[in-house]
Amino acid sequence: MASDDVWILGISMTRFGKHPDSDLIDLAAEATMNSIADAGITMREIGILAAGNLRGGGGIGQALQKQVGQTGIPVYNVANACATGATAIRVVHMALRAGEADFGLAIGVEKLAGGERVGDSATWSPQGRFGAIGPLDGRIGTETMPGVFAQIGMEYGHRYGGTSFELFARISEKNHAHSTLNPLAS
Amino acid sequence: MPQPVPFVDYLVLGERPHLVARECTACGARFFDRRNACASCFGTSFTQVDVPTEGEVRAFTIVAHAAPGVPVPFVSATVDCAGTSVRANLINVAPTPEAVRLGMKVRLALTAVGVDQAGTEAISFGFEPRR
Repeated sequence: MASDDVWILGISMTRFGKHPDSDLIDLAAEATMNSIADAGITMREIGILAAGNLRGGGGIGQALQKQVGQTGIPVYNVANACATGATAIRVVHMALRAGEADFGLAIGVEKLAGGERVGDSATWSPQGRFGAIGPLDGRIGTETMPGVFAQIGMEYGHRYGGTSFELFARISEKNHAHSTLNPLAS
Repeated sequence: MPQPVPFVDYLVLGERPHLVARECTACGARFFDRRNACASCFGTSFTQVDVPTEGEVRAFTIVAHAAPGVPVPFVSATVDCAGTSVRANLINVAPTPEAVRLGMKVRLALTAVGVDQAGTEAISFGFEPRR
């Protein structure tokens, strides 16, 4: 019987950190098993899985199922930048609301540590939509999200006026204050 | 000695170095990448236009942390060149909040990227303060 209400029965989170000895699936499995235990059910009851990950190369949902329970349920791998985890929740929520399943699992997992800019090729050869002969990051502006958003915030202030850097600092202060309340923060 | 090559295909080297943009013939929106259609009006016809080499800093950030292999600190910026937004580094200026300010008048400048195994030099661009 499909109801309009969708309930969160269990939830879990891994500790923030670089986790050199854990791969993506270790982190996803830890969060999965702990949230399912929190809900008081097993993977057997789960009828749909949505797995959010941006930089792991895809197929995280299937790889997770192989570790924690390969029950033949539909899996949706989603990638949506900062909104990736929220998109996974939305996919499960909509599936439950549509009556496709009674229990669903939404997981979001990412490892960011250890990346580096790829090196230049031995001979210059234009590649891609900008006809670039090497990586742009650091040469034609920045591609990192903190840098991009810093510029968006500054452009907003420049265009509309009245948006003070004091305001941005207060948002940062508020967010860091919240992190001190999270025992899983690094 | 081979001719130097531009770091990106929208940088034109030579006597009068400048950037070129792809301009939508329907709405005038400008882009620097190869286009399938216009993001603003969905038009599919473009013409190539020269971008003014002088502009002012509309936004910037001083990048102190980046992926290994990216030299830091550097100044990333959005430069308004008479209505065309250009993403670039600010160069020939100290990467400090004291030296860089919003609205600063800047002009296009070239910078060496390096030489490949065939001996070809690559040239990129940034914007430097106008004095």
